[in-house]
Amino acid sequence: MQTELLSEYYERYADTITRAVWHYTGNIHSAQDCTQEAFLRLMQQENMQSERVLPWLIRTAINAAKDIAKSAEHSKTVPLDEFSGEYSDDANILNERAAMRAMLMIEEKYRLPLYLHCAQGYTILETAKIIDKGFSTTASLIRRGKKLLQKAFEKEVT
Amino acid sequence: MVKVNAMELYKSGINRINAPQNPFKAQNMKKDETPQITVKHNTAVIKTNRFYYAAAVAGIILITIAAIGFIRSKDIEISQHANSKASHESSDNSLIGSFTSATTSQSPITTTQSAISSTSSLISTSSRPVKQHNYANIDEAVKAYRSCEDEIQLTLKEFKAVRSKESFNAQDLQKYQNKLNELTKAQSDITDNILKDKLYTSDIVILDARPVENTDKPTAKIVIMNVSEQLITMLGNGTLTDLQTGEQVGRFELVSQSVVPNAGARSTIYFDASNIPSDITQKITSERKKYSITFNGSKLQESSNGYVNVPIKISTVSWFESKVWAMSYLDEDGLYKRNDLEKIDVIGQ
Repeated sequence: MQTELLSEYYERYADTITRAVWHYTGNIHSAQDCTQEAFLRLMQQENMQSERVLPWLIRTAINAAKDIAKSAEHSKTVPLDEFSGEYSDDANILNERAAMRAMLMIEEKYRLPLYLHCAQGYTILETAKIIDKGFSTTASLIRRGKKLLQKAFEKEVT
Repeated sequence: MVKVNAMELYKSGINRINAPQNPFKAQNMKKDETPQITVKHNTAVIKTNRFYYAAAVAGIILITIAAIGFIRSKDIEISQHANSKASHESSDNSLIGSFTSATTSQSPITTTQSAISSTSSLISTSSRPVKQHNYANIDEAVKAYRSCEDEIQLTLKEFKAVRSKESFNAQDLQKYQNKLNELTKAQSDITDNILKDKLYTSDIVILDARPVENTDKPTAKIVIMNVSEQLITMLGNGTLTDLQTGEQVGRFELVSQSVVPNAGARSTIYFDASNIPSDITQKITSERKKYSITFNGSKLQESSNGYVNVPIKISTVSWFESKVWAMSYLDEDGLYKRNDLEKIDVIGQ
């Protein structure tokens, strides 16, 4: 794949992918590694339609995240919690951190659709295409995910 | 009690996760230079650990095989109750043989090498199988390409119609997506056939040209195939001329250009056709009236100082004509270059 095109995709999607993968790794450094791995694999791809690139990158990065999660290295490591490490008594920041922790508490299958639809603003159809699931399945994952997130958040702040 | 929206809080938190800087940004990159990417330390650690892990697994497997060999030879020894010395020798040999192979086969290295070779074969197999068509001439090949493009446009229309409905099945959309993939592949097969059978008679073959619908501005899409080994890029404006009167009736502005790799450098060029009067557009689409389009290009040529970009004007002799469009090169003064003139092959005139 051409460097210019790759660079363009990186500018456009790297941030989205890193954030998406964070929902699986729970730490930013592993998420960055997975994003890097996905782009390295994209370099080896040749003819790929532009509309297929984002779903492909997300799936590749998430597979890389799952590989890392299975590795012996990962099981011996306790990540530094970037959201609780820095002291703050600001109620807004504390609530934000609680929401982030709540997101990591809910089941994996809900996290990506919630992130893509609610934080990235993709429509349900676009989200369905990216996560490679049916329209109605995606819609119900988002609906249930929102409820679960609210419950997990309430548990986290009390 | 204040009602808190967990999603809003989550969104404000997730916005603080940022991607690293773009490692692919080609700064001062020369032609054909491999892009550099920063490999992070922890990736290297994981890969090193994987290597040791693979070595350990290979070692355990070999020891297990040796042990099984040893036990089986022992079984044979017990069951036969004879020639015990020979049997012992045999089992020892089997054991020694297994351990020798374990120590001399350098299994982790072999594993790594096979992994590398399989990776390279994965990369090299990207040259996909091409369907052989045996077109008699370029006319036939381009006609096939255009009919594929017609079908793509039709499929896209159907796809959009289904998508705009209030309720639809995602599987239906997938069906259209698959059809589009097949048609795109068929187009690549056609261009590969043009290249392989050397059907082209000029450096540039115009595969298709048509207006793009539902865009902010009137836009024309032109697909060309550059069969020369030189890089040709389109620059600036294009002009549209009435072939009967010789009058310039409109102007295009280059919007974007994209290249399909490994397809005979097939480029799709989008022109802003806002400056083409609507009555002309109407004549082009409905009457298929002939117009000439000329656009500026740049050709990479070898000079004494290396490669330089030479500005050229590229002209077609007909616009939205069903047959193949002939191309001609003009120099900056609008004069035909003698060498290029020899390459001109006016087809379908």
